Amino acid sequence: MNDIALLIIAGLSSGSIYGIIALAFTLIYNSTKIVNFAQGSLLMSGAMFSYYFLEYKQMPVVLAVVLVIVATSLLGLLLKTLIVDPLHKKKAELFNIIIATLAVSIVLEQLFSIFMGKRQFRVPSLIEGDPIKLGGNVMVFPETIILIVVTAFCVFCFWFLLNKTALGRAIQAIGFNREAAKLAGLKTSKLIAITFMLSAAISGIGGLIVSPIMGASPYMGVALGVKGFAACILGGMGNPFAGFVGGVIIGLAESFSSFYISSTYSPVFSYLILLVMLIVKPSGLWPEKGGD
Amino acid sequence: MNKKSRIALLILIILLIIFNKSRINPYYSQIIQMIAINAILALGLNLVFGHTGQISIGQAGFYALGAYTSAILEIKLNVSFLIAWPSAVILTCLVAYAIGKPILKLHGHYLAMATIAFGMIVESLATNWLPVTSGHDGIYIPTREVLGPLVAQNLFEIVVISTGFLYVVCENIEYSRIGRAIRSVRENEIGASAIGIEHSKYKVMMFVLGGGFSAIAGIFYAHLNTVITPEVFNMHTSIQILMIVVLGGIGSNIGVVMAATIVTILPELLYGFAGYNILVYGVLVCIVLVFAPKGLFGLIEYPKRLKNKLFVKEGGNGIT
Repeated sequence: MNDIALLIIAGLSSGSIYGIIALAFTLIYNSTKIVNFAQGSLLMSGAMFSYYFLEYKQMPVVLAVVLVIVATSLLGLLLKTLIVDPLHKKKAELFNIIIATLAVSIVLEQLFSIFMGKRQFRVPSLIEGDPIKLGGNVMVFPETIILIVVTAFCVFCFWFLLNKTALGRAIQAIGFNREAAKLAGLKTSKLIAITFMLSAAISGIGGLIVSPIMGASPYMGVALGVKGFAACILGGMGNPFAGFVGGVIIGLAESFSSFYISSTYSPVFSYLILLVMLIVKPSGLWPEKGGD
Repeated sequence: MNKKSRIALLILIILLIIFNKSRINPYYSQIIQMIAINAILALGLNLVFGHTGQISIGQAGFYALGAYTSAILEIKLNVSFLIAWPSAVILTCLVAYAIGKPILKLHGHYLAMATIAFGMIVESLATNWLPVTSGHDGIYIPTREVLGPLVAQNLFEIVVISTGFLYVVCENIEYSRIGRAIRSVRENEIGASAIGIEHSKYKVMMFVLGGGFSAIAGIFYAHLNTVITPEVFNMHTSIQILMIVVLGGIGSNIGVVMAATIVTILPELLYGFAGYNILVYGVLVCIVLVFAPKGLFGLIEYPKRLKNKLFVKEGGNGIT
């Protein structure tokens, strides 16, 4: 029984990591139909900034959190103005945008590894505290609880934002038909800038809550980005809840397969889930309504 | 491929072989071999991405399959290289077929992610399947003993001539019936099938061929470098191959070979700045995509186009 409880907690915690990345993917996808392949690296940037502000500069937690979120949102804005806008203006093919975001992810990775070092950095937890006992040998670390709660909260916030507010509906309208949205009087460029910043901010928050558990390293981005996308695909693009549930399913599959089958092959399983899902049902378990 | 470029290619290969045989500088010979390997990888991806318009960010997976299969057959199973090399290529092509057949139905970012997932699976297996791949310790290939002295001494010639041969294959495909078919698939898949071109057949065919090219590159790499480790075949390698194709001008064989040359030489020139070279590629690719979608050699024309844009009125052709 203890094993299973521990596995579920481990699955939930890594699932939340994938879920929060899936959320960041979903936001940009909703407004532009672009899949931002630099998403994993934006989360890595968040984690590295967390190390820089929290551990290296020893700043107070609240200030550090704000600075990390501001810094990553600025990265998102830069990505939009320097890369996505010019490509969109040139009517570049989808593949060129994909390659450009991949190139951005490499640039970010290299910049951090040059300026901060190639090693794994330890990042302190946002809240000090002892592990909480849940009876028996089952213990939960406070950072795990923060991770799960913050992710769930973010998912709820963005579901609310996208479906219940004027801003969210405007963002979805742009994703549905950009020209029509422009004709209807929406400031599309500004709104897309907002989605890129929000998505990057989410990645920053992700970096803040992931780094106490996984540490921060310039090379953590790629694998996390791919697994986050797997979560997106499994749940269905375009729906924040679906991405989160997809993330949790992948997290649970990873923790259970590493315990019952083999720990060395658990990464293979999550990529296999992605591959099989793409082949069998690329629209996901809860496909978005309408759209293309 | 016309007669002039055939002769030019032949002269280039002969010059390279003379250069190597005169043993002026073994360091340069080594760089030439690496250029050849990168060129084969990029030519293979160019068939898939450049000519057929299907993205693949998992080429390093096929590269690894070629390298590991040949090495494992030779070292662990004591198979002669005459059997091991073709088997490695055939196995890789079979895997490419099995993977390509279902995933090439996908489009856009779904296809991109599926190929990434394939590459990551191969990388994880190379890292974790210890009894077969030895993980991070890697596999040591005593090239001289495996290939025999005659072949081992002439490996440079084999690599350079094969690269030339594969280049000719690519050029001939471009100007053949298949080349026209895959270009029509790239431009408009539905249109192509409307005029009777089975797009899925051609897509899979090119994917398999691209996988085969990567396998050949992998075999050469394994025997030239004598050690193979999983890090060589990670996602960054896949991205780097893709970048070479982008820098060379998507779909241009000669451009891709030139880009492979630049991308291989650049880190040697930036020797004191290890780590910066990947950064330079990343920035370069962004610049090329934004300013010159036709590749690095399209960038040369950029000032001219800018001048036209600034000084010639809309509708003018720039010739005054």
